[in-house]
Amino acid sequence: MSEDLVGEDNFGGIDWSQLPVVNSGGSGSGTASANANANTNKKTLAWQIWKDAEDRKIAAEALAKARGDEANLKTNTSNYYTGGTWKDSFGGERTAANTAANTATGSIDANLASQLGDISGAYGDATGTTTNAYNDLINYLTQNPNNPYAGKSVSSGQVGNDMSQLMQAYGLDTNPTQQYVGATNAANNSTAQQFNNLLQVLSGMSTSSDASRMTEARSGSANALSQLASMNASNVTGAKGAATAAKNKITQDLLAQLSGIDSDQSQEDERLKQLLITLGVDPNAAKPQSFGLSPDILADLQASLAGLGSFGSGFVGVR
Amino acid sequence: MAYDPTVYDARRRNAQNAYGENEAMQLYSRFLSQNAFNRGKRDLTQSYNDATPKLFASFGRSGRNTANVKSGATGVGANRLAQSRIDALGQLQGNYDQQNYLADKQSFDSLGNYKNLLADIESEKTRAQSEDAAIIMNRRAGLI
Repeated sequence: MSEDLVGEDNFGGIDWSQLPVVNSGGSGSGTASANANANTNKKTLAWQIWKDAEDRKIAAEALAKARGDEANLKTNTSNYYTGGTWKDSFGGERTAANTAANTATGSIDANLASQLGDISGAYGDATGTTTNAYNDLINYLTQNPNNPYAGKSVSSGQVGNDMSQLMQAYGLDTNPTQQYVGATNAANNSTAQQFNNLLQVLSGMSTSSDASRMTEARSGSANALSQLASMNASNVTGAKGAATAAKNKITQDLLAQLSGIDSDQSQEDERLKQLLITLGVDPNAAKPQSFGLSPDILADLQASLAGLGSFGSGFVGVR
Repeated sequence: MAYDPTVYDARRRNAQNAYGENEAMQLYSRFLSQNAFNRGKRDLTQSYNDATPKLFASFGRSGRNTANVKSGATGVGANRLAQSRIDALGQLQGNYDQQNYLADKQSFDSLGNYKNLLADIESEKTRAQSEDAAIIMNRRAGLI
């Protein structure tokens, strides 16, 4: 190995001439050789001193970290055992979730009550309008019966024997002619009677049709009101169903939210437990009254520092 | 269709106009029938009045105005003439009557149709009001 590998530039700040020379035991065989060995020993010593300083630095950093961990442990164990802020935050989340759900549910109930009021009012108005409309129709039909054939009849014009007086003046028998007059008028009367019969049939049909129309008006009113009642029931059911569905959704969301909070808390709980275990604290033990470093950790650190002691405590002052 | 009173007013006016036009037509038809009947009766009467004296005059000229004649051919002829006249007048009267019957029936039918149409309009109006009430109800319920 070249001497340059331990050149003085690599150990900055060390005054080589001030370092004690370790006698190798050789003498007289050659001054040059003895000097060379001395230099080598000096550089080796210097390197060991530098290494000692580095190791101390590393050990100090580890100790500082351990103390930091100790402080962290102190805080976390305190929170862990007393509940602390981290638990309170989860409780706060639960409270907020429940409050939001209750607010939303209350709003839904209020809206439902308002909507049911609207539905009831609308149903009342629709029922009134429909009832009035059909009452108007029934009144109209009552006051305007439609039977143009009722009470109507016709009669035929009668013919007579205009020659009767003349025939009598001549002493002629008018009986055959009178009989003919009777037959002729009877034929025309028969036609009139047939027409009167037709009028009676038509009158009966009109009366029946009128009665049917009135019946239809009444049943139409009943049907319309029944439909309104059905629609109203459907509207009420729909509104209540929508509100129930919305509240169910809120409940489901709340449960999911609470489940998430529980899960988060459980994870945090586990994380803290693991941290405590890592730091040498039994998470199931009672809350510790003092928070000294774990003996194991301290022993490790002390061992690290003690391992450097082969060069003597006098080197500690280099730091 | 949403309830619109103006639509029904228009339909009522149209129905009333149609009924009025039909009645006017029937009145004119009756007027024509009456004229035709009067004219026919007058013509028939005149025709038979012209024929009757000639028949009786022929009886007198031939000296057949006796009791036997009266009960025989002359009586038969006079009765036939009278019956012919009655038959013609009877047919004329019958035709006229039937024309009047038909005019009456058309007037009755027209009135019935008119009143039915008005009742139909009232029914449609009622149905439109009822349907609108249901639609408005559902709109107010927030379902439409």
